[in-house]
Amino acid sequence: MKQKKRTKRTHIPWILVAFLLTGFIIVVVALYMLLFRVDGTAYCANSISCVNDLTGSFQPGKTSTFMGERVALPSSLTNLQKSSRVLGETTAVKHIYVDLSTQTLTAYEGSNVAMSFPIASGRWHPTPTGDFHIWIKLRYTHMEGGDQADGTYYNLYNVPYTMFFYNDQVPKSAGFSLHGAYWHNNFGHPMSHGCVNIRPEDAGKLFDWADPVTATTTTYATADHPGTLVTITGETPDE
Amino acid sequence: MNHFTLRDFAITVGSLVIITVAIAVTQHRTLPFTLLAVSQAPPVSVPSTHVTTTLSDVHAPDGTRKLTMKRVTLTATESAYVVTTSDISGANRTVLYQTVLPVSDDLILPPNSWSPDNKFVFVKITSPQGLSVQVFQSNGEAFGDGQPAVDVSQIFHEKLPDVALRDVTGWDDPSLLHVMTYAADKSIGFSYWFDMWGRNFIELAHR
Repeated sequence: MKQKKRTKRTHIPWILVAFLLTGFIIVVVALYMLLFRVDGTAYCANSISCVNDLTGSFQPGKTSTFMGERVALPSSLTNLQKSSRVLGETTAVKHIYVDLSTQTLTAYEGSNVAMSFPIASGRWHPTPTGDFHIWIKLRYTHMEGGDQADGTYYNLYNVPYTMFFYNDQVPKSAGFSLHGAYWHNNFGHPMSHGCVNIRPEDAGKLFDWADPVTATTTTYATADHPGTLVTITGETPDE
Repeated sequence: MNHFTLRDFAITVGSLVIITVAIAVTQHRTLPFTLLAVSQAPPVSVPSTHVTTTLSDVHAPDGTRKLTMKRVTLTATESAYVVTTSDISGANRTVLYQTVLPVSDDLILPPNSWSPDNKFVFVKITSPQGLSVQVFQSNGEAFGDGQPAVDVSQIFHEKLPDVALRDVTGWDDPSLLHVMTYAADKSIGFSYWFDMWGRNFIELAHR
């Protein structure tokens, strides 16, 4: 009588399975952290709101809070008008430079300075350096972040003239941007949680000037209408 | 041979006395921190033959109003300053502050003069004695205590006698001025908020 040949089964020890599984999870988590971490710290400039509000719409009746105080939106910012620029208005290459050492922004059109003014970069979290592109422009947005425990919590509605930027190291989800700031007036000195704060009057001019040309309350950069290049350099002064 | 007569001697001594008195009078001055309430100070008269110079305008952050300073040269050693607020067009002008300062002093409108809600403005006066910082209500009205201005530097010296005032750079929020200091050993000291409502200083955490 022929005996049925028993196929040999390879038994993997449970401990090896557990080890491999754990290793796999660690690799996945590490890859995720690598992709979304910025300078080894928190990956979202506005730690609570991030990039959740991309409507660009004005939110009436909302009360903003900054460092424990209510902040009112100036009446001059409650009805921001659409840009009067048109496509193809200028062919000169545009480039925004932010110098963290001097806390200034200079916008170039070709070799000409289009505008220059003081800014306020990251005090509570560093503003990233490098070359970036604007990927979206929002007439208004909501920003929330900071920490109640150390008094840095903020919940700011209708932040005007926001231009989010990104590069290969700083993804869109990290939520760093150039934007108007109506809750403080200490420009020329680091103030923010990583974004580049600009006086509303200056932010409006930059918003209208920068690409892509703003068509509505929310304008995405595209391959045909890319966002303006933003170069951020220098070291934030220790104040 | 010329002799030095008693008359020559009297003229020389008299001239020296007059020069000495003139120097003493021009060097004597009141403290640069002395403020004249707008309602109490006589207007600074400007002889038409003197040069009027508009030194600076500082716009409110939202661009709707401006703070303006005019300096008028009175003599070789003194200038008059007038600080006003107005709409960005120049309409609705309000005089906040008038003073006469020696040439060793300077009145400055900082770029971040305006509080973010346009309610307050601050000016700086530099002198050999140090830095003076004065906050005004932008509408020209006196504060609740009847004073035309809050003398931040005076309160600083009273409440923080162990540190020196280095600079006031702007408004961290509608009522908090950002104050920078020197430590007792002249190194860079901690930064503070000056709270306009509580009239006190809050030490800031370092980054």
